[in-house]
Parts: sequence; C-alpha cells; structure tokens
Amino acid sequence: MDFSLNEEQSLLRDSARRFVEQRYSFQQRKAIVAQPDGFSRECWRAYADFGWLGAGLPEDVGGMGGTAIETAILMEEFGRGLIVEPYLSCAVLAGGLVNAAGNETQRRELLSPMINGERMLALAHGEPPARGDAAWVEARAVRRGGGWSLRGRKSRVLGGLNADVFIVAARTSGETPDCRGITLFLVKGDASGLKRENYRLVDRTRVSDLILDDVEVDSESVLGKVDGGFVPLQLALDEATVAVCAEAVGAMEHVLWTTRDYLKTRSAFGTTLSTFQALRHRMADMLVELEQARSIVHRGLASLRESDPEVRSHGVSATKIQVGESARFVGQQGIQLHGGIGMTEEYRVGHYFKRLSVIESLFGNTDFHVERYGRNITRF
Amino acid sequence: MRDGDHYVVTGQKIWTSGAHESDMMYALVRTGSEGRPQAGITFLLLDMKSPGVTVRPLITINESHMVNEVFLDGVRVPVENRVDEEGKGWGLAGSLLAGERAFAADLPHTMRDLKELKRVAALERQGARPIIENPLFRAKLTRLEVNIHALHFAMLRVLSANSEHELSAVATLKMRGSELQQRVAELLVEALGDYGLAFYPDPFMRGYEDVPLPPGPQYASGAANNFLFRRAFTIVGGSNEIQRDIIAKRVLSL
Repeated sequence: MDFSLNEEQSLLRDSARRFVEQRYSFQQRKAIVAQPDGFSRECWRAYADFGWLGAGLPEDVGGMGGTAIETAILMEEFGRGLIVEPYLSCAVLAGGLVNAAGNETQRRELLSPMINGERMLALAHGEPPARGDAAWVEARAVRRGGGWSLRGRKSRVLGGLNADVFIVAARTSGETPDCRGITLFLVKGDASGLKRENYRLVDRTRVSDLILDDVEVDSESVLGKVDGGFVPLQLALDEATVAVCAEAVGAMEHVLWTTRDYLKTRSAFGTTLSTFQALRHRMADMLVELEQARSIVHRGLASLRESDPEVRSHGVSATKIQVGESARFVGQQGIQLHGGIGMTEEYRVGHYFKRLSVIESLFGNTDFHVERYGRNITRF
Repeated sequence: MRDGDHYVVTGQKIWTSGAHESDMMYALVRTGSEGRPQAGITFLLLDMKSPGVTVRPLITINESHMVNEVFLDGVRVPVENRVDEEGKGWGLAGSLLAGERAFAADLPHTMRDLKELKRVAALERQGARPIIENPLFRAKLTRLEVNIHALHFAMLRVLSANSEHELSAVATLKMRGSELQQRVAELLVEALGDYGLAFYPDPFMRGYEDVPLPPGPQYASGAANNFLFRRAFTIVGGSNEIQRDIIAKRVLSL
C-alpha cells in the first residue's frame, strides 16, 4: 500500500497549512468566532478562491475532481487551527449529498454556486432520538397539490445559521425506522413555515434546530428520487464521518506538540515538568493514540471506495471508534498535563478538547459505531 | 513583612475560587526564611477591600467566572487577623488540604448526579426506547454506579476510623472521587445526545446576554458546563499525579 501523497496533494496540504498558520492563529480565531455569523466570510471567500469548497467534488460542477483524500487533507489542516467555517457541513456533507443524490440539473444549480462561495447548503436530517441512525426520520412529507408539505423537527443542524438552502430528510412512506421511504427535499432558508432556532455548541460552532410547520415545496424540490433518500444519505454521512475523523487527527496532533512544548518549559519542584517519568509516559501514550487514529483514517479512506455500502459503513465505523477513543484520551490528557492553565479559556488547549469532544458526538458517538460495527463483526 | 501591629503583604495568588464575590480571603504568606521552607509560612485573613488588593478574573473553559488571580501589593493586614502563631501556617494548610481532598471526593454530590443521570437516561430516547435500555450505555452506567458504591464504603471506612485521616485513604478518595465526578458528567452529556454539548450561557457572565439558549430539554442546561469544568477536578487540590506520588512514596515506601 502506498500512503504517500502525490505532488498535487502535497501542494494542497502545504497551502492549507500555510493558510491556517497565517490566517488562523489563536488570536485571529478569537476574533473570528465573535463575528455575527460565527465564522469569517473572508476566509470562506478564500476557500472558494483556492477551490477548496469543491476539493472532493467532480469537475463537471466546478469541483477539483478530487476524492475523499483531498477532503481529508484539508480537514486535517483545519483541525490544527480549529477553523470554524462550516466547511464540513456545507462542502463535505451537504455538497457530497447533492452530488450523490441530485439529478444533473440539481447538481449543477446547487453545487456550482456553493463551490464559488455564493451559496451555503446544510443538511437537516438528525432528530434527537436518531443518535446517528440515518434511518430514524420521523419528520413527514405529504403530497399537496402538485408538490409536498413538510412537518417535523430537526435537531443540531450543522451550519444551519447561515444556510441558504436546506436539504431536509423527511418520511414519505413506511414507518420509522425503515430505510425505505425517506425522501430528500430542497427547502429555501426563507421558506414560509420554516423556523430556525439557532444556538451554539461548546466548541463555538453554530448549529440550529429547524421546525417545519407545513413547509410547502414543489415537486422539483425533491432531491433525487422519492423514497430513495437513504442510500445517498448514508454515503454522504460516511464521507463526512471520515472527514471529521481527519479533522480530529489534526487537532490531536496540535494538542500533542503544544503539550510537549509546555512540559519542556514549565518549571516545578526545581526542574521542568518534562523530567517526570509519569508525564513522559503519558505523552508517549498520547502519541500512540494519535498514531492509531491517523492510521485508522487510512482505513476509513480505503473503505469509502468500497462498492458494498455495508462494507463501507463497517470500515467507517471502525474509523470513528478508534478516533473517538484517541480523541478522548488526547484531549483530556492535554488539559491534565497542562494543569490549571489548560483549564482557562485564554489558553488554546481547552478549545481543542472541546472540539474533540464535539467530534466524538457527531454522526453517531463511539457507542453507536461500536454497535454498528459489532452487528457485522463475523461477516466482514 | 511585619510593620508594628500590621503585616504588609505583597505577592500573587492564583486559582482563588470566589475571590470576586468575597469580603475576606485567607492567604498563606511567607514571614520568615529560616529553617525548613515550610517553617516560615503564616496564615492570614485579609479584607478584600484593603488598598492594594486587585482581583483579576480567570475565565475557565466552561466560559464561566469562578476563579481568579489575586494581586496583593503592600496590603496591610492587622496582626489580630493572623490565625494561630507566626510560622504555623503550613500545618493549618495541611489539614485544610486534607479536608479539601477528602471533600474533593464530594460523594453526596456525585450520588445526586448519578440519580439525575438515571432519571435523564430513562427519559432520553435512542430510537423508540430510552437510552438507559441501550446495553452499551447501561454497562457504563452500571460500572459507574458500582464504582460510586465502592467509594461510598471507602468514605465510610475513613470516617469510622475516627482518627487522623490516613494519607493513603485521603489520596485514594481524592483520586477516585474526582474521576467519578468526571465520569458521571460525561455520561450525562452522552445521555443528552444532540443537546449534551450545546452551550448554555452562564447567566452571570457579562457579554453573554445575547447568546441564545439552546432549545433542548430543561435538564440539559448545566450538563456541558459540568463536563468541562470538572476536568479541573483531577488537577486541583494536588493533581492526581501528585496523589499517586504520595501513595507510592509514603504508603508503599517506594
């Protein structure tokens, strides 16, 4: 197996790393999260100009023609700097879903302006009891006139605050949690009957709950096929899961070296903390966890190329489990080894802990993936 | 520095809980440099309104103001505010710290948290069933509860000894108690699913007036706050690494 990056991929990584170093210092980030949108429109513009918003999307819609590998390269660098722009939710998750589910017209009309940075998309899929189960959709759509009417509630919609268009998953037939009978609808952010309840998570990212109270859409607003939403949803969620795992690797790596530097300089008991064996061993354990996480992301990327969705999801769950466990250990120990300073909001390591904790909870937490993996442990 | 019937105190204290809402604080100050380093420490009570006292907030990762840095610049403290004799502060601090460590187990609080966790886990659903019926979640909850019961009996044993708390017992209570406080908070966040890590602003924090409340259930508020702030519990009062050192050196004679 060849794990090395090709020349274009190396360039992509270098330019993303440079961008994060120059534009996303801890102080700069502090100013960015305080903006009304919760992120920097200037940075978003830059991502569009660099072509990053289409890094994992095909060329026919204006993308770079890359794969999940290009997405992962960017996400890892974004993880180092804890970038808060809705890249994951808009470019990876919603973008990936439109690409997987949409017809030619929809793909072109939605993806090209998204990739240009002119329009933001978000997926409104999750509901509180779902906890990662893509089939748990209680929101309903019924035919009305020539179109559809949507009712239901969606929770923790990533990037919901700034979305111009939502992709809403609603049940058009069958009973929850049937895989069949889920349909994807395109709903404009200002549609009548749609209410956003915006809030934020502890990592300062912005999310929304959506209340759909008889939101009417026309028949053209069905993304892909009626009752056919589950298959593309699961694919887009699997891709986003691997992407967020790559982000976690970048964040963990930053925690590791920040903590290393701190132990080498912080003096206590007449020496530096780095001389204490207990702390040295803890740091070695952190490195092992990081390496395990980095390695399993390669497995995740390989599984995304599998044609059998069950085999693919199996490998994605493996990735999320290992990354979840590693992230928890590295995030917690990053604070622990810093001591009091690590607990302060003005120091960086706590922010990484918060993001890593949120990542563990996204797209099904560790337990969800343990259960999903375990179901097929004797098959694959 | 002694100046007639006053001590004049200059220096800095950090991680002072509640300094911003206190009238008085106690401080350990150095009054002599002869003999063992522990010998020259005196225990003083000082008025927070005294000239030379500056309190700087330390905002912690739960975006809340609970602890402070306190700067003391030529603060005059009357001699009658000294507790015990000059140079006896270390012994007093030791018993306070032992109290803090045993107290750090904060078992009644953890048991109340466990009860609340079980209540929430019976209400919050995964699919059609309460999350408490999920075998993986239930296994974690079971282990937590058993660990809490063991700590409860450890605490009862220490209390019934009716003597100076043994160092090993205090170190054990502090280590395990702080870990369990973290775990109960983690499981509550997990039980709350989509709202577990939603940010509920501290109503007393300035500049957070416009931060919207998440639309989760009422019992979700405070969960993330505890989850984050309790990372400090394995650090304060002598970090758990220090507790392991104490056990290794003073109990196991390693």
